[in-house]
Amino acid sequence: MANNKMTGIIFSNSHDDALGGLTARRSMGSVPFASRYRLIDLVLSRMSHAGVDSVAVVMQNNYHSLMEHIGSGKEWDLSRKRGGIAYFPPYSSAGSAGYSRGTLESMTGLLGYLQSSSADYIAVSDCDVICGVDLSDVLEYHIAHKAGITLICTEHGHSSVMVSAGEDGRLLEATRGGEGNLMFNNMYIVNRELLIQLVTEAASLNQYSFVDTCLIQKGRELPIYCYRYDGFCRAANSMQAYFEISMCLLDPAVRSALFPMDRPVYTRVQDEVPVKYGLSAAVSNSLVADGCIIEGRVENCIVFRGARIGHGAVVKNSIIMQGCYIGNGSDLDYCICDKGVLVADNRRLAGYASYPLYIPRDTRV
Amino acid sequence: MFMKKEWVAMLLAGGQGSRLYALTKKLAKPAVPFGGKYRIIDFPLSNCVNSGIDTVGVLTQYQPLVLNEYLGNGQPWDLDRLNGGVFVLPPYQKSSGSDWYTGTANAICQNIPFIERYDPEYVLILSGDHIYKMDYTKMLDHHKKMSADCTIAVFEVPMEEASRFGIMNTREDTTIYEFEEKPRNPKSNLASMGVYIFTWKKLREYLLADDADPSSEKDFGKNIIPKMLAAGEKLVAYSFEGYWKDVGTIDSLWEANMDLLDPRVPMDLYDPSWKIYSRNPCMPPHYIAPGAKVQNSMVSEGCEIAGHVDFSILFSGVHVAKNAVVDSSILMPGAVVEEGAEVHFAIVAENAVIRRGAYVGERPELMADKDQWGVTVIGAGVTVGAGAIVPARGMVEEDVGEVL
Repeated sequence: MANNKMTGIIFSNSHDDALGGLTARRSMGSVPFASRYRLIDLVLSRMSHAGVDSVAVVMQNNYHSLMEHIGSGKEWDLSRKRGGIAYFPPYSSAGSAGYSRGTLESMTGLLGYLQSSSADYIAVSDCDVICGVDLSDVLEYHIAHKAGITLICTEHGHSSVMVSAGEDGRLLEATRGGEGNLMFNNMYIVNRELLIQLVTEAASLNQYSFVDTCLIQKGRELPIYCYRYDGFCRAANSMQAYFEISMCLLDPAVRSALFPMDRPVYTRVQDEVPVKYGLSAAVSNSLVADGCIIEGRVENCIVFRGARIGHGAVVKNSIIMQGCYIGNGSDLDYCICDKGVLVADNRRLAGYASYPLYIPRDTRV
Repeated sequence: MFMKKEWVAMLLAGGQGSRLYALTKKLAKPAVPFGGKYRIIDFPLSNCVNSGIDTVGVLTQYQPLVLNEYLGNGQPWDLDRLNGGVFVLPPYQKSSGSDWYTGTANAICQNIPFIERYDPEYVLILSGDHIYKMDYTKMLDHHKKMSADCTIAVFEVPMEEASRFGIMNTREDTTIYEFEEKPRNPKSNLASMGVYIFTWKKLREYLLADDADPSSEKDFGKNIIPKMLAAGEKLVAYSFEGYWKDVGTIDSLWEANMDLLDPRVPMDLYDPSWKIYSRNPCMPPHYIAPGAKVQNSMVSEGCEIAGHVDFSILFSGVHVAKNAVVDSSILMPGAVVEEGAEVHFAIVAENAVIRRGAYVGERPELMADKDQWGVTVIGAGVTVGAGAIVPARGMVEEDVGEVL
C-alpha cells in the first residue's frame, strides 16, 4: 500500500569544478548564497516542506564545512528519532557512495539505506540548481501519472541535458546537448523499488551515469514523466552564473519564488545581532543579513552575515560574504569577496558585469 | 537520579508588567520584544548559559502562552540538556489546596521540590525585566569569598535618582547593614538589581518561615531580605559595572532600545564572547529598495524597506513602504508602515499596520506643550486607518478608523 512517504538523496559535491574558487575549499552544497544561506539549505528546506523526514547526504570531498553546517539537521526539522539526516562520506567499504563516476554508481553505496527505507518515493537532487519548485506538487504529479520517475524540467535556463516530452508529459527522448523542448537539471522523484532495481542493474553492468543509462538508454521503456516547472530555476554552473543568479535576488518576484512565506528556507542559526546602519550609511537595492555594521554606501549588493562596510566606502554590484571587512574609503565594483576577505582602507577593486572579480577566502587586500 | 548541581537559577517571569500597558496585554513582560530580534528574557537566559548555568527554572503566571512557546525546549540558549535545561514552572494544584504565586518569595517557595532535585549549594534568583550583560560567576566568587548567606547585585545610580530604587547601605567590606525600599533621603546610591545569590540551605529556611507568616507579603525585597538582615545573617553587596536598565515602563523600554544605537552606551551586542541568544525567525535577509534611506538604525531579517528610516529599531519582517517615514521608533515583528505614513517616537507592537498617510506620534520639538509629550504606543495587531492621527503619548489598543 502506498503511504506517499518520500525520502531524500542529496549529492553535495556534484559539479564542484564549475564554480572555481568558490568550491576550492568547500563543497557545492556549502557555497554561500543569498546573504545568509548555503546552497544545500534550499534543497533541504524544499524536502523538509514536502514532508521528507529522512535525507541521505552524499559527500565526496571538502565536506567538513558542510557537516558543520548541517550538524544534526535540527534547523531543517531533520533531527528526528525516526529518520533524519544520514551522511554518506567516501572511503566506506562495500560499495562506497563516495568517489564514483556518476550518481547512479554513487547510489550503490546507498543500497542498504534504500532497502531499509519505508518510503515509497525518493527525491533526488544536486545542490547547484537554484529553484523554487514545491516538491509536494511534483509528488502529486508523480502519483497522478503513475510515473516511475518524474524529472523536474524547465523550459528556460541552461543545461546540457535536453528532453522531449509528449503531450501527456511522458518522456520521448533525452539527449546530451541535442534537441529537446525542455531542460533537465538533475532533480527528480523516483519510486524506491525502481531505483533499487536500476542501481543494482547498473552496478552489474558497470554503468554509472543516471542520465546516460536511465534517461538516454532506457528512456522509452521506463515510465518516465517530465514535470514542467515555470518558476525561477537556474543552475549555478559557472562563477558568472552564480553572480547573475545572486543579482536576480534583488528582484522581489525572484525572492518570493525562492523564499515563499509559507515555505521558508531554513539555515543554521548563528545568533547574529540585527544590522546596524551608521550615521553616514546609504544603502540602496541591496540584501543585507544580520550581524553587519554598515557605515558606507552600498548599492546593488548581496551582503552576508557579519560583514563590515567602513565609513566612506562605496560598494556597488558586489557580493560581500560572511565576515568580510571593507575598509574606510574603499571602492568596490563587480566584486565577489569570499568569506573573511579584508580590504584595507582606500583600496580600489573592480571587475566587470560579464567578469566579476573574485577575491578568494581570507585574502587581505 | 538527578546529578547534583553547584547552582541553579530561578527566573521570576510571572509579572504582568502593567506599566507597559498595551504591550503586555497578551504577553508577559519577559516576552516583550527588545533590540531588533530579542525578547527581554533572552538577556538573563543568555547570561545564565554564558556563566555556565545549565539549569534554569522559569516561573510563569501572567499570560504565559507566548513565553512558553518562545522558550520551547530551550535549544536556542543551549538549554536542551540531558541533566537540567530550562523548565517552565507555572503554579500548580496540590492535595492541600492550590495557590497562585502570591509573591516572588512564594513563587520560589512553591518550587522547593524542583530546586531540591538538583541539591544545589547556591540558588541564583533573577527577574525578567532588565537589560544587562553580566557574568554571574564573578558574583558567585564574591559570595563564596565573603562566606555570605546572600549576595545582592547592586548598581550605582545617580544620587538624585536613588529614591526610585531599593537601596543597599553597606559597610566598607561590602556587607549590607540596611536595606531601604525607595528611601526619601537615600544614604547611598547602590541600587538592587533584583539579582540575588543565596546559599540554598539558608534560603530554604527563610522561605519556609516566611510562608508560615500570615502577615508577610511573600516578597524578597519586602520580607525575606529584611528578615535575614534582622536575624543577623551575612548579606553582602556585589557591585556590577556596565550597562543595566530596568525596562518596566514605556519610556524606559523605548530608551533602552535607543541606547543600542548610541555608540557611547556600553552595551555591545556584537561581542562574540558574550552572545545574546534568541529564537530566530526563519526569514530571508532584509532588502533595502532603491530610493530608501536607512541611517542610525538597527534592521533585522525579513524587512523590506523603501521609505526613510532614521534612529529606529526594526524587528524581523517589518515593511516600510515608499515615502513612509519612521523616526526614533521601535517597530516590532511584522509591523507594516504603508506609503506616506509617518511614525515618530513610537513603539509599534507586533503585526500592527499603519495605513497610508497616517501620522503616529510626534517629535518633541514640534509640541506646543512639551509636558504633553511622550512615546506613543500602538498595540499588537492594531490597524491605524489611512490618514488617522495618533498623538504623542497615545496608547492605542483598538483599531483606529480611516480619516478622509
